[in-house]
Amino acid sequence: MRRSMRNRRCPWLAPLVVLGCALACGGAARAQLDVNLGGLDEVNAEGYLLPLRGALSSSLASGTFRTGYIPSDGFHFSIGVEAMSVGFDDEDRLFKPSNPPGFVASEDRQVPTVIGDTKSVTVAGEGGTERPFPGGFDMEYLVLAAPELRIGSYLGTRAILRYIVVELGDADLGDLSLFGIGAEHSLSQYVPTLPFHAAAGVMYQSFKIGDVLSSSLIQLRVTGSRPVAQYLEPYVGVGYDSFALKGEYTYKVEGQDTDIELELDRESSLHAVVGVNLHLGGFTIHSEYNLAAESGVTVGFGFGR
Amino acid sequence: MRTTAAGTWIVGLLGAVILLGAGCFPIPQIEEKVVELVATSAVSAEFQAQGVINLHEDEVTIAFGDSLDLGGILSDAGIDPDEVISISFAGASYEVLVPDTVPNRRIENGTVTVARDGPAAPTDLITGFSAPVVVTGYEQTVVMEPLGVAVIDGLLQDVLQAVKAGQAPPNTVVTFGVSGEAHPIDQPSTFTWRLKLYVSVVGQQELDLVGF
Repeated sequence: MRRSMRNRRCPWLAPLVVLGCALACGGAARAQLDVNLGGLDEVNAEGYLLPLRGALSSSLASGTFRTGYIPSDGFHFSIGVEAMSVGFDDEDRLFKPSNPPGFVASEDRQVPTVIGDTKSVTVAGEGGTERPFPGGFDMEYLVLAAPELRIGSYLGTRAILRYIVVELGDADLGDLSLFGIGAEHSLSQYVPTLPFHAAAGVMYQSFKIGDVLSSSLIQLRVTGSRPVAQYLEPYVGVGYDSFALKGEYTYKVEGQDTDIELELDRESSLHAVVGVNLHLGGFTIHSEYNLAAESGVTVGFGFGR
Repeated sequence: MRTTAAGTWIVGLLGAVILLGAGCFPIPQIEEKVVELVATSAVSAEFQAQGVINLHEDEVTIAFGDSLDLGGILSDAGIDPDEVISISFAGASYEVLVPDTVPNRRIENGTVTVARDGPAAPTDLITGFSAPVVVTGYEQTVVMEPLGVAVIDGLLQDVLQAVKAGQAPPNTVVTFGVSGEAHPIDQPSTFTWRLKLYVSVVGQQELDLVGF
C-alpha cells in the first residue's frame, strides 16, 4: 500500500519539482524521516539533521540575484525555473552521537546523518546493551527546483517571487512548499559613470517539508554585471545569508509521546557568486557557481527580461 | 559601455567555463534503496518505598510483552515484522516520581534483579547503584550487568519471534526485585521511583530515493 502510493507519485514529482531532495521524494521517505527522528532524543536529532542546514541555506540562496541591470521604469517581467544544487562533503555523512537516556556507550563510534549511508549503526554499550542509530538517505547532492517570477520596474526596483506547493499525498505530514519574496534595486542609476551595472537585493524564503522540517532564509546581496558580446552578461555578487532550520517531531517512548521542537543554531554565512546569463531574444539561460555555507551550481531558464 | 578586446575574451572565456560547469549539474534519477530505520520504546516498573527504615526492598511483577507492545511499535513505524533486522535492550534509567520529604535522602548500594516467570533464579540487572530520592523530573542512567542484560535480550528475542509468527509471546512476565540502603539511617523513607528499560528495534524499508 505504502509502496504503491509512492510509485504513483515519484515519476512526475522528481524530475519536475524537487529533483534531488530524497526527503521530499514521497510520503514513505518523509514518513521514515519522522520515524527516525522519533527514535532520537533532541541532541542526536540535531546531529542527524545538521548537514541539511548548510545545504538548504546554500540552495535556497542560489539563483536569486543574477544581474545588476534593473530598468528604471516601465513594465518588465520574466518567468522561469531555477534548479539549485549543492554537493555534500564526506564528513557530513557521519556524526558522533551523545548517549541517549538510559544508555552508556562503551565504544567511540560515529553514526549516519540524514544524508549518510542507509544502513543503521549499532553502538555497543556497558553491560552488553546496544543502541542502534538509524541510517540516512544516502544523498550526495541536494537539488531543489522552483518556478520564479520577476516583475517591475518602479524607480529602478523590481520584485522577485518564488512559490510552489506540492501535495505529496501524506495527510499526516502535509505538503512540500517553497515561498520566496524579494526585491532588487538598481544602484547604478545613482552612479551613471559606473562601468558596470550594480544592484542591491534582499529576499526572504521559507521551505517546508510537511510538518517535519521548516526553514527560513533571509539574504542580502550586491550584484554587478556587464553585458559583453551582445548575448552574454557575466555577473558577480557578494552577500550575506542567514538561515534557520527547525524540526518538529514526536519522541516516542513507552506510549508517552513528547512533542519535540528542535531549532538548530541559525547559520549565517557570506555568499559569493559568479555566473553568466545568455540572452537569446526573449529567452535567457544562466548558470552560476556559488560559494556559501556549501558550494554548488545553479542553472535556470526564463522568458522575458 | 566600452569593452576592450582582451576583456571580452576573458569574460567570454569565463562565461564558457561556467556554462560548461552547468554540464556538471547533477542529474537525478530514481533508485530503489533499502533504508534502515530505528524505532524506540520503553517498559517501566514502578516501586514504592512506604515508611521503610534503613533497608528498602520491594518486588514488582509486570507483563513485559504486553507493556512493550512490539506489534504496535512496528505498526506505528510502518515496519513489516518480517523486515525487522534486530531488537535490542538499550539500557535503563532511574527516575523518582514522588520524592522523599527527608532532605538529602539517598539510596545506596542498590541492586535490581530480574527473573522471568518460571523456575529461573533472579539475575542481577543493576548493582551498586546510588541515587538521591528527593529530586523528580530527572532520569539517571544506570549501568547494566551483562547477565541481567542477557535475560532481557532473550525475552525480547522471544517477543520478536512471536510477533513474526503472529502469536502471543510466551512467558513474558518478569519480576524485578530491588534492595538498597536508605540514608540517613533510622528515619522512615517514603518515595516512589520508576525503572525504565529502553528497547530499540531496527527495521528496513525499500524506498524509491533520488540518486545521482
